[in-house]
Amino acid sequence: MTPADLTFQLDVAHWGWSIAAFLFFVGIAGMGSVAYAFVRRTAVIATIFVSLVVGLLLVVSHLGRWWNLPRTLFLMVRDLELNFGSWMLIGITVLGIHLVLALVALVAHLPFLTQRLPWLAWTERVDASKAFLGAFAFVGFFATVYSGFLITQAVGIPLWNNPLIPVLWVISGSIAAIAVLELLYVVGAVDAKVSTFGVRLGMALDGMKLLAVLGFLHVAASYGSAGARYGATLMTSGDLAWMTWAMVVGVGILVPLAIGAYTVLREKNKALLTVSALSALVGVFFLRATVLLAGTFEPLVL
Amino acid sequence: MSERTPNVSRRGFLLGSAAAATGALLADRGFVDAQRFFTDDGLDVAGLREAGYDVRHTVCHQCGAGCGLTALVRPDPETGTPHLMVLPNQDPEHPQRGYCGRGATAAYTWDGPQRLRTPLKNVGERGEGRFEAVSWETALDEIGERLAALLERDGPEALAATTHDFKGDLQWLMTPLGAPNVVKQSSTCNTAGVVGRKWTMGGSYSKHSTVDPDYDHVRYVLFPGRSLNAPIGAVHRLAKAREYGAKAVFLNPAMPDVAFADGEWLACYPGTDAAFLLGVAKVLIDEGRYDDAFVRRYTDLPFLIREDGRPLTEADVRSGGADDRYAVRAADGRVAFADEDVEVDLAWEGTVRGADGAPLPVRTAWARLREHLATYDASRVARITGLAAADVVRIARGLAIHRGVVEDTWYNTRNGNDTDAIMALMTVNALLGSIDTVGGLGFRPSAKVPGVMGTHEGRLETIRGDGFSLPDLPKSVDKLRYPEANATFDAVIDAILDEDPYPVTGLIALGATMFHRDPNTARLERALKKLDLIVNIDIVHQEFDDWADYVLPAEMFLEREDLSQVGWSMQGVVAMQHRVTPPPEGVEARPHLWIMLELLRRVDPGMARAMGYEDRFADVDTFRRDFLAPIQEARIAALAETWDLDEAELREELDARGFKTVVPQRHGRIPYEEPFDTPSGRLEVYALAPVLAGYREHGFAEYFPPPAYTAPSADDELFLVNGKSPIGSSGVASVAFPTQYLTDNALWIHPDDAARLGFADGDEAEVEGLDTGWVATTEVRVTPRVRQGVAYVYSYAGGNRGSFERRDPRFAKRTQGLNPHWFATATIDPVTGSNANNASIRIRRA
Amino acid sequence: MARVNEMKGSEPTRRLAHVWDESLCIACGACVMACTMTNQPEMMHRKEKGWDSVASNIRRIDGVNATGKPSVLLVQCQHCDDAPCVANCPFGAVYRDDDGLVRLDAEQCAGCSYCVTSCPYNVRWFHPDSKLPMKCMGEGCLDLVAQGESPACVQACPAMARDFGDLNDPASSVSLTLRTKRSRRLLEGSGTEPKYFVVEGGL
Repeated sequence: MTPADLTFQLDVAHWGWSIAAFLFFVGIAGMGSVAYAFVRRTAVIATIFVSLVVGLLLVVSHLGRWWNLPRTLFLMVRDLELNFGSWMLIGITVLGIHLVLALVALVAHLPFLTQRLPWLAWTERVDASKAFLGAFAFVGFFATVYSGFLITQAVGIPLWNNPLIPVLWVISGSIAAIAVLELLYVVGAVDAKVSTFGVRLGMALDGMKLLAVLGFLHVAASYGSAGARYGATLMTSGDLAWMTWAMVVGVGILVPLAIGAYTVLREKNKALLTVSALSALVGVFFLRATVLLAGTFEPLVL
Repeated sequence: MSERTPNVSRRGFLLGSAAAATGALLADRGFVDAQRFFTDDGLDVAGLREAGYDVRHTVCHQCGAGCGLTALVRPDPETGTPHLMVLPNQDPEHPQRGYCGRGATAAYTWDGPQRLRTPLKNVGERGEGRFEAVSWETALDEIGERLAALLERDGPEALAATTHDFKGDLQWLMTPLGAPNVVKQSSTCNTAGVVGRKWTMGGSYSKHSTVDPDYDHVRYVLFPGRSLNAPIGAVHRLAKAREYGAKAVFLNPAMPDVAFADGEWLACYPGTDAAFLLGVAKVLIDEGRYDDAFVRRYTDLPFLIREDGRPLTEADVRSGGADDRYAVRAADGRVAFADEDVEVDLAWEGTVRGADGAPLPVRTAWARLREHLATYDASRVARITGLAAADVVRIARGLAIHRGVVEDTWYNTRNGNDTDAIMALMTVNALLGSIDTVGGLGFRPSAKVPGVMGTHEGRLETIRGDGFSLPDLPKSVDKLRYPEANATFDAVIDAILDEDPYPVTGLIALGATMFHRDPNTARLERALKKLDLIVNIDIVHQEFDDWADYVLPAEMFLEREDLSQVGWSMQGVVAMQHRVTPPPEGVEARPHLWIMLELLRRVDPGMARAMGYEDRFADVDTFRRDFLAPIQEARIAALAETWDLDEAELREELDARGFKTVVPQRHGRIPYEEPFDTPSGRLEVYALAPVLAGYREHGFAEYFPPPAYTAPSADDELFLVNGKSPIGSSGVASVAFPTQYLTDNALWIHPDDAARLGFADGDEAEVEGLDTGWVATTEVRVTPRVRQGVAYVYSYAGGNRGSFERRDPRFAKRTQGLNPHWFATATIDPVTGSNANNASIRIRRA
Repeated sequence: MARVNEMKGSEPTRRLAHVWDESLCIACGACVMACTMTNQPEMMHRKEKGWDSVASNIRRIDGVNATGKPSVLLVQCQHCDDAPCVANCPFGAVYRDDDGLVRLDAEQCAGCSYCVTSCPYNVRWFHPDSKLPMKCMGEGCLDLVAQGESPACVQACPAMARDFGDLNDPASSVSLTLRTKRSRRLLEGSGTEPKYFVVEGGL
């Protein structure tokens, strides 16, 4: 049976690279917010904020009718038609809150602002509070979870209707956040302690991610519906296999694992750490891209 | 919101209406308000007219089937521009109401990008398609001048004309010029069918539109090679019969679309229909499942046939006897004649005494048939056709038990042995006795629609009363070459290329897609290059334009008026094709007759006057009003007279309903009350005409391998078969915008062949004609809808090489795929003139 | 507003449904073109890029059935009783109306395409001008239905393979057909409760 026999529909969903990038940045921002609870550095919150903004710009640019978004939001609120059954609306809300919180934390880290505009000084107090850090971490975590459920809820694409996706997104988002911390360490924006902790945690997460990716593929390819199986086949042995094996597993997991092992057993090397962090980020991005691109509609004729 | 929802009766009534479809067409959704006039009681014409709609009935010409359409026209309230919507004729009594995917393209054609807008002059090489728009005056003057010179130099025989549907219109120019070569091209389409019907049923029922199964009541119908996409009334009636359990079986190398609807598809090799049908005939006889009474009384199977194959006649056994009284063996042992009411001995063989006293060994045709069929046992038939022996037996029994019918074919693609397939299917129908029975093969009574032009006492006369003394025109080249030909354009190509029997140097084409109708494209191109003058008259851009020196825009059917008989109906029904609309803005289309007479005026003004043409008719509106309109008026008047109808009432009915039934359906007429006009008056399973004319040694259908192409033998060689889709691979519909997407133009191959040759669906293939050597590339569709060993393409769907498609990116998909005529040899049956457009190819990954 | 989606509790008074009879369909394409001409005449000579085909709300899918016989399937919006596109639209632009038809309020659509990925039947396409997700029913057919007429595809079918009517009305032709003939729905297991019924042919 060829893929053409199986799908009979538009092979791949309309969501592609731009949504993958959106999910990538949301992951960095989301799990970065969790890290921020422990590493309250300017560079970290700046990365979170920029990632969020870039992610949101990407998702708005993907809107076919972006010019109608303000009107849409206005009508939605005016008519109180708030469909919280939709993960996308939940996501819009969560990302909105996340952006506000990130802005608060960012402002707290910008002394030239708070000094010139004393009425913003409250941000520093808030940013220092455990309640805020907890809320910020929770919203960030939830934003990452949302970015998984967003595609899980896309009923048309059976490959995505898989509970492992939010889990994968959280794990890989964490890896991305750690990779960002490592890079910040390399450029001297955070201290070595953070980096050392990050390397060990990252290796654990890499192991979990490898398991989760293989589990996701195994379940979809073995027990999924025809559409899910086809999507998984695309990822394991089809047109997208190079992304899965080379980019997601090879570059994204095995390279950081190897470098992590070297770092733990032998020595810490900034150049290697840079390679490891960039590899991890590439892997995280391609994980989202390959899952999105492999999304296939269920065949209607069998 | 209305409470009314569609119900069964309403749905049955409104079937095929597509009212809305056209509602938005070309216009605005304002037409939706017209919907309220489509009531359970029919179309409320008065209401529509009151609401400002003009209701005009017409006849669809997007393919050749001529289904009934209705158009609503209303001026735009703001601009005053008339908007129109085209919908199927709603009248449940219309025999061909409704439209299919082809009719739906009428709207696309009328004002589509492919519509020809002005006369064009080719300023490049033949085939190049570099045009310059010119005025009508310039185009006609230049063509007239070149025509006159050509006629002066080479004589009227040297000018040929061709068309698909408009032979009568061409004769307004050609006959006054004394030019005999108005040669259509039906040889890859109807010719085999027409000849096969003529040889078995006589001339009156030789045309495809005059014979058809009685779909209203059919219980089991076998379609050899026919994909029944049109006419839509037949499709609809068969659909209704199928709702109540009628079975449809399609014998075809590729599965026709119509077989989706629960039909059975028998995937045979191409060109093997005759073998299958003769196999069926053998089963019917062997198992005693034939209609003995019908065979004895209404077929020529009881006739005594001499050893030389000729029928024994009275002249053979009595001096001074008639040579058209055919002898039979009476049960009491004497020689009797077919016109005597005697019990016949069906299976006799022996010797009779000839008129000269010499013994004449004879056998009944029946006895000869049994011997003839001996070689068509199911297992041999299975080997030839690629089907199972059990299929042959099963279909024969199904046909017999349900008193089924074998459809008599219309457009079938051809393999060079096709006339015998038609004779074979009539053999089966004769054995079944399914002739003019309920659910059997039915016959259309003539509605005696008056012609526009005719010959009367040596004069050619138009219905307006104009005309001239007609000199004896020589035979056209196709009839000179092929004695039974009805439309073999290939003979014109011979005359162009080989100057045999004389040179042809000029060609006028009217609605003729040469590259998609004439096999062996390379040969056609050579012929077109050699011509001194080519004029193409058409409604849309198509590949052949590029080869013409002048391209003239003609009026589309929505812009023309005509009166015709509805085809494929068991009733005699006259349909009025009203002029629905003028051409859209910017389209300088002209009526066919205006073009013909304007050319005639320039070449031979005297003849133009004799045909009733006056100088003032140069104004096309005047021509329409004072020349064309009176023609249709006169025809309606003559029709009223023929059927003793009140002329005003007839006119009113044609106006209000679009058609008039002048002869109702009645079963059991032919041949029971009116004999066939075969030599014997009977259904001739043993075809006497070709035997008496010396064309054939015996009169039975037989199977022989397709002579038109080299049989595939190597692993990478396949038959190449083509056929039609109900969406658009026919007539004008084939060039409409949606057709390129809705009719697949990839090359179909079976999954087994694909696996052997290493093809996946969507791969590119290089295809080479085994006989013509033509090489082309195409996308491959791997599908079980074609049998193993056979490749298939939809006719007209692909391989358009015209400059229009190359220029307009919206039509780019039309350039992909194959034109099967590239690979066909143009092998012609020397008697019937039947041509072939199937072929064989070698295929490899591109 | 009357057009609020079902989660807000309004139940449709009618349940209009399409019936397509695969045992009668001859795949002639009349419905496909009728749909374009009725609902998006401006697309008559324009390609729908996503499907590389005509811009129609009806798609033809060629395949083989369980016995290996080639089959054709016409797919369009199933007007699901439990439509994922309605449930998932973040802006409440996709809703189910009083007739049980799944509709789109263009004013509230930002073109996020969540309805596209939410539909298991993959029936939407994007209009190149408005960027709206298009599907059955289009405006032209809604006008027809509002006038008590059948949608264009039903009216266009020459083979009587299509019907449309109210499932809540036991006397409607669709109810009668579904009572008396064997039929199936597509992706029955997806839980969408589609209202597009395929009357089955033989194998």
